[in-house]
Amino acid sequence: MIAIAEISARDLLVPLVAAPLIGALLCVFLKRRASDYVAAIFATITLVLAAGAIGNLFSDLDATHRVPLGWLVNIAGESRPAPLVFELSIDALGALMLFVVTVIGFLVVIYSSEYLSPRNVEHPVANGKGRYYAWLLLFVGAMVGIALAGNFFQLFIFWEITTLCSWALISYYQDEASLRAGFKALIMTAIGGLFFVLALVLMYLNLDTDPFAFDALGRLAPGLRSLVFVFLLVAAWAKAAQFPFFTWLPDAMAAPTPISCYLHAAAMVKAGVYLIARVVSASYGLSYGVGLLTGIMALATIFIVVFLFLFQDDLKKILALSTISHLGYILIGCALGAWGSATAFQGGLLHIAAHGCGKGLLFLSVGMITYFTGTRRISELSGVGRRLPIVAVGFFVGAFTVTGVPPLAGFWSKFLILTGGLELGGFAAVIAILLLIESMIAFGFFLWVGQRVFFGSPSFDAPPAKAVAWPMTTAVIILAVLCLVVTLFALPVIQHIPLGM
Amino acid sequence: MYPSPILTLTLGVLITGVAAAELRNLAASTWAYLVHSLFLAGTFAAFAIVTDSPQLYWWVLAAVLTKVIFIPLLLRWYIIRHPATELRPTLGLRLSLVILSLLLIVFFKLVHTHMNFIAPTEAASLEPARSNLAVAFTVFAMGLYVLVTRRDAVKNVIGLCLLENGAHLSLVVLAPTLPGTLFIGLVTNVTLFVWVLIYVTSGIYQLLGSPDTFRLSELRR
Amino acid sequence: MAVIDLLIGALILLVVGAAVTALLAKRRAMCGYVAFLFVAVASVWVGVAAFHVLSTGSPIAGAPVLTIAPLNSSLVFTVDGLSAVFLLITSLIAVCTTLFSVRYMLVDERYSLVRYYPILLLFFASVISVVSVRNMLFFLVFWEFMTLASYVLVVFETDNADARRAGLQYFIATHIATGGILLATILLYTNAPVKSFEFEALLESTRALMATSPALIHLILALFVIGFATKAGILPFGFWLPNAHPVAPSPFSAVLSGCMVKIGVYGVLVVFTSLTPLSHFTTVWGVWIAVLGTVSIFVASLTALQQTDSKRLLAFSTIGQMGYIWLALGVGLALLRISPAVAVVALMAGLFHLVNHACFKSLLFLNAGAALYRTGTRDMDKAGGLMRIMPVTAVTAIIAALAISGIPGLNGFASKWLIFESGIVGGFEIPLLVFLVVVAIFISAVTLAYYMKFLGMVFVGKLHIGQEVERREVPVSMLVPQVLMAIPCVAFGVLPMLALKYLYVAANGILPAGYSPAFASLFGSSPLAVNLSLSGLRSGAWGPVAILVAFVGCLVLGYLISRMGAAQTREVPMWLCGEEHDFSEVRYPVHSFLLTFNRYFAKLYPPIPVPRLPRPTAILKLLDIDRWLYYPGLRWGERIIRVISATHAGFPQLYVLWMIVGAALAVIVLFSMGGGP
Repeated sequence: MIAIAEISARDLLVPLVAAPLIGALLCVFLKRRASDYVAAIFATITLVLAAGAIGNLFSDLDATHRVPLGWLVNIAGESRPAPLVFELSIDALGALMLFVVTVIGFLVVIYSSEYLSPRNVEHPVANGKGRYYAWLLLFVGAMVGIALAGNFFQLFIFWEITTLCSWALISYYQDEASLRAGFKALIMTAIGGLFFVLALVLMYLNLDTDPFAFDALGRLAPGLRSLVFVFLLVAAWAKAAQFPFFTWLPDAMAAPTPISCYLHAAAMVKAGVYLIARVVSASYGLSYGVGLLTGIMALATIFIVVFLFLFQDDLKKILALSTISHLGYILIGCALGAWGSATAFQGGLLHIAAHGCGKGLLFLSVGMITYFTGTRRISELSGVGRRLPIVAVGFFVGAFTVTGVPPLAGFWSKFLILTGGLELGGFAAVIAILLLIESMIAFGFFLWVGQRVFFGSPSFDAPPAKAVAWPMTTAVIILAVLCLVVTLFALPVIQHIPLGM
Repeated sequence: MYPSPILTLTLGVLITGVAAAELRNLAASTWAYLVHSLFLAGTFAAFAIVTDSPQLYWWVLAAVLTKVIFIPLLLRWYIIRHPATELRPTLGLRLSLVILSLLLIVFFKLVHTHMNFIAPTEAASLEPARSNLAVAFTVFAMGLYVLVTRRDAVKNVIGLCLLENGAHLSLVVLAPTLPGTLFIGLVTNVTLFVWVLIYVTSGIYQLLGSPDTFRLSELRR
Repeated sequence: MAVIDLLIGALILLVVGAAVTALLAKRRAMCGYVAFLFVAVASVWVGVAAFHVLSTGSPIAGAPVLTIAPLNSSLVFTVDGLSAVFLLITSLIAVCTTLFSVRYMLVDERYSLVRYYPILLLFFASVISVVSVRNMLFFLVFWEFMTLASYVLVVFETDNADARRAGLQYFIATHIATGGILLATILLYTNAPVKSFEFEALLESTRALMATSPALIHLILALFVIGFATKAGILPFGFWLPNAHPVAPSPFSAVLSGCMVKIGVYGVLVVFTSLTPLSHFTTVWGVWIAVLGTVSIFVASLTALQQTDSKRLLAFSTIGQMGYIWLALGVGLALLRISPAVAVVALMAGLFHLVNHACFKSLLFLNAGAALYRTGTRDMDKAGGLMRIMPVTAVTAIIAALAISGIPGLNGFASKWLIFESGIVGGFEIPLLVFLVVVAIFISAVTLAYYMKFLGMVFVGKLHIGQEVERREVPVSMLVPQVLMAIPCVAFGVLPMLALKYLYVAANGILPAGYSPAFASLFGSSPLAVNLSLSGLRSGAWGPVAILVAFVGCLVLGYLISRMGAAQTREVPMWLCGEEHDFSEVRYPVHSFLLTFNRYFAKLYPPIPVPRLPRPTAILKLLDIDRWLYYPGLRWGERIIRVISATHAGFPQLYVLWMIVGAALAVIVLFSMGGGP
């Protein structure tokens, strides 16, 4: 028997990607309770393996553990070495993403076991759970793959798998609206994916060795480097629902709420910002212009969205729009990082975790509201806090996390971004101050929404199914605790993520 | 200068090819195709002798077995069960002959003149490889012409076979080192798809009452 | 065990207490007593630590608890003289209000106590933490957590629409203010020679910036002042205060007014003593602070007169009294460079008034809470004469009201007197200060007027309550806090030197070493009387003991005379010019006293309507990119695809033809690219 201590992070990477995929395969053939259990077991295995891998990495956070898996056959007549394309690796940045992806994935699986039931008032679901879990676990697997991808090519493969999964899951209910929304998400993100391909082709054509390695951009000629970065940026915009591609995301709210949670808190959209974070982390000498482009577009997105959500009545759509603006925050962290501010970059990365927990919590809370009441219109809800106190705690903690009220996680990330921006001075300082203003507006709005929905006289009767909602309650409580403590775990890791200068 | 047997044989390939394309009686067309294939095999043999490459004898064997024996047998299996005359093609016989001849001449001339753009090696742009390659392309073009202008499904199969023959003929110049086994694989493949097409065509006939490819979209119902 | 460990222990105790009370929330009484137990022990520990610092005069610091490396910040708990003062008032208020809450919070069973005691304990923990860190980052974290906790308690009665609105207004206003403070802090941090959020590092940053960009320093100081003024309830930034204080549960209103708004003052003091070197900036902003204070005194006191809601009246009074504190601080800061002796006295006067206000305003809120507990109404027109059934409450209320109005012999007079003295003497240097002080003195009379109204309507006069009201004093657990808070009101009034001695340590500690004149040279050496000498002159003296002895002597004499003359007293009904009316019909209600006032000063504090945002349909349409870009684009795409699909007619021959055409095109393109034939 192998002692636990002897297992290195490398040994865990392949099982880590495989576990959710096997789970997904099994779930295809299962129904109802059986699929619940199998999905939960495989989500747990993934979580444990991820914990093992991350824990292992803690002994040396500057290290990168690589597992090369396959090379591309060279086209005849080429004399250069065959490029490594299939590769898993884990480093500090990957570990951060892995943490978000597996923890929230696990909680979403647990939560779903109750959410998708005939007791759900909004969408009673009797069967079809096997299909749901299969796609969900595939999604988790693909996201784990993105977190562990060792190069751009590998990342792209998992990237497109997530696109596919989000299409299937958004259309899960198979009514007119959700089919349309799923198709829209598929089209827009796939078009973004084409730009990713373009970037890959450019890298392959212009680099003889390791064309897809993460530090490839740094080795390109400056003009080409900016071009490739812009292509990757467009891909990330589409994935992370940034202006002008943000329109698919509010529509994607047709998905079951746990899926919306996973899509927005941890998976799909985070893949986009993760790509940019990767590029900024590994590339040397990104030009001022590309940083400016990233920053300005993110800023435009943030303000357009903040304007839109002031006039929105649908709770989930508010969360969707807020997600878009928070991805903008992360991108601004990356843009400021490209301009040379390590502080802001770390802030952006911390925001991946902070926003993951906060927004995840918000979605799960709103999911519980719809589960018990069947509506998610703000104007139709009041006094929810009296009936569902845990949900109220979850919503407020989540809202305060994403809007940055100390000591919750969002404060620290926003604080770092703000500090970084002001340190750089000039236009970066303007961006930072605008972010602060947006933060205030969003805070006020979320507080208003929270009060409107949770305070006052209850708009519905006491939930009858209180006893069986424990999977959902547990998920909400765990995330609420995470919102408070995630900074403590994430900051030491983030400090070891390099910034290409 | 190479001796002329190869050129003579390829001329036979061309003429019998035109006959296979233009004869309206399907049985006659099949016979023409048989002769066409014989000439083809002969060309291979001639190349084997001229370039002293023994592996080409395998090619000859394979060509005779499939192109001269199996494919005509398959076509015959179809023809004796169905009407012997092909469906009226889109062009009349005389017009078709004129157009085909013009096409062949122009195409042969074009390819032969600009061979150095196509030929992968220096040797290929020299005679007799040069003429042979030009003939190969011309046969290929003939196959395409048949495919485009004929309505009858069986005639289309013959067109495809001509097209394949053109391709195979070019191989002798373009890839003379191709192992015999691989060529056998190639021609067996062609035989198999002819068999499938014949089978499908007879199915079409049963459903539509004619082998008219123009009416294929009716099968969707 | 080091003294600082007492403080850290108290913080841990409060957090544990929060967890324990959260678990006990279903058992309301038990939960209250447990909370009280935790708060009492923690307060004693904090009090001991703070008193230790004040008596030895040297700050204490602990080891780093938590380090955040990317920001070069570590959490170290430090108590200096200034924080000790705030810690002492916090512990006193914490003990009293928690004990008061135990019975008070039993009444309304609609609301779960899980939102009360745990949050209250966390709130106290955050207040203690805010004043005992010397790192701006952690200061901000605890500061905003304090806001968060207080918000939860302000909106405790979630069914009450007023509470919701006030809570929203409160949290948003203070959060924006905190944003300003945050911005100012980061601006300092980014310019610091040593990148750190420690006060010392930021001080160096300010020093450097003063030379290079004074405009930026003015901006930073403005952000700080506005931010802290918002929290401290200084008008026009403290507009949230009169709405939020009345709606909170009464014990927490006492905490808000007694404790939390004071932290704003602490913030300003920290900014101008620990983050800014002594310079003309201090002078300029000192004057501004004094002006803001006076505006608050003027507007809030006159508005308080118009109130009929007892707790709202108290809230406006809080703003007014905070105005006095700010005036004193402003005078102190303005003079700090010019005339240290006067400045030190002014700062001490401000701190003294702060301590006094913490005592009597908390007491008044507890009094109002007790009245509310008994009668169920905050409307002064609907209750009256409660002295008959609640003598202890009434007496403590009278003490507090007299103290806050500045009646000699009680603590309010002592501190206000010092404020006025220092302001007038300071006027020799900056004439504007005299004007401000004169305004403050006159408004002081208004304070007396509205407290007479408060006392007169609620406690004295004929008993006027509904039949359903139980006619007896509130429970002992609610009386003890009131009496406890009344003690300092009297003690500091009779023996002001008792407080001044320790406040001198606090004020001395925040100024440069050797800066302030010796205590005895400022206040004389007699423990019974304040012999104030400013600028080397004997400026005034106040010996409350002697005066009180004389006062009591006169009372005794008067009583003796009345007894010796066998004067008779009799009870008669009110004379209504011969008309016969029920008393309740002809009762002179609160607002009638001041109708004229209300008419003239109503515009002083106008309600600001929140405009409803129009729905900007045009912009929303413009931002709907789907509608004008993607969907039309898709329709065009569909049209093109239809055209292309027309080529798929279903003939195999046609497809072959397309292939040939395509191949031919490709060949032509290739030839033309390669410079073909």
